Amino acid sequence: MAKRELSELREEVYSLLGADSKNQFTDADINVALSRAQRELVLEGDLLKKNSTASSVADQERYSLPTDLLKMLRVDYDGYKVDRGHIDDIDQLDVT
Amino acid sequence: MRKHYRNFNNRLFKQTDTIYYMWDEKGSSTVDVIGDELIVTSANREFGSGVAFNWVLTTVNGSDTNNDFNTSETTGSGATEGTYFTDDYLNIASTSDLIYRSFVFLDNAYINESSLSIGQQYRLSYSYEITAYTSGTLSVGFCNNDFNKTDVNKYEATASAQTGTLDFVYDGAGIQAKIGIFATTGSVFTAYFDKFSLKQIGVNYPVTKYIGIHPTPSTSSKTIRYHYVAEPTALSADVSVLEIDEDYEKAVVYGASAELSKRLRGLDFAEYDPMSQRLLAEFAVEKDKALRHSIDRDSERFVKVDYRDF
Repeated sequence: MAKRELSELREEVYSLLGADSKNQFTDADINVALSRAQRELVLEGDLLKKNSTASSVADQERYSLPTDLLKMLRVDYDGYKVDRGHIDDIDQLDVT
Repeated sequence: MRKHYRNFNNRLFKQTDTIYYMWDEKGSSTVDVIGDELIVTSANREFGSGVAFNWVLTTVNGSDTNNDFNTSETTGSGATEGTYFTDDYLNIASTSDLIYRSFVFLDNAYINESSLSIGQQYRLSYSYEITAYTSGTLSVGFCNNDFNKTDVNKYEATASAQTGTLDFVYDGAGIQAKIGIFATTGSVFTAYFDKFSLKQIGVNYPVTKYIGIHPTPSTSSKTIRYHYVAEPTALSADVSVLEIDEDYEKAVVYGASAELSKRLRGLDFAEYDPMSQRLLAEFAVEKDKALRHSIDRDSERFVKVDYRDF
């Protein structure tokens, strides 16, 4: 499918909102609404899946996460799926 | 200890007792603009060429021209156009009235007042440029119904094109009754204004997410793989960014339309059907039409997009 320009999507929104919508909203308003709708749909549908890797460091428990993470679906460690636990269930934390 | 399990494809996997957990850490506070634009009509913010707006520029006191500026009009020339000014914009000039102060204003009837809460902080921002200044005080901000200034920024010099911001606590419609541009008696200046905006501000604590692997890894260089839903790219520049499929694009367009329609007309829509385990959205984009789209939770694709009449 050919990509479309953001400006085309904006024109569709203006068209749906009616003839006077360009007096009511700016392009920036439409961009914000499109971004918000996109985020909501991606989150609800678990769309835009990605995976990335990090390397363990001996004796280090805490790691940074991908900066574009919206929702974690699964974590593998050393080739094995690991379950999600809760921080309150762990007696001692390594915060190095 | 390792255990085995089967996934939905009946494939055998091994699993260890290692767990992960996640948490957020609060960062240092910043003051951020939040919420929607409160000067609802773009013409009242940007004075587009040939577009009607609601600023009162003449006979501002309601009875005569005593408090009018010598020049108060929209124009397409005079200011430094580009980042701060685009055609048209507001041109205000005072050539020294020694008896009466001058002002122009936008009544709060054109502000989404139902979204303003007494005691909350808001930010008025605008582009301004003062190309000539000799005397007096130019003020930008709010006044009450008697045109007495309540919250303003004051200018007493020439200024290059830039953004002005005024943070204030909302005290009620009788206190911040109008957005205005004001000049004291004896003022001599020429100034331009554009891109007015009024939004709520609030203290924001940036949050950083972390993951913990427990028990703590005893060796280095083991692979930790994250499978996750990624934050979509914010749509702010005119580039090709939507590339999943047509249904996705339609849903985004209709989702945005629904939100803006709701702001304009108060229409509502329902989103989720827990019985079918599908997202069933009816986006009311016009009074007599709606879009229904569905996301199949298994294939994670939009499976149906159509119009229907109410």
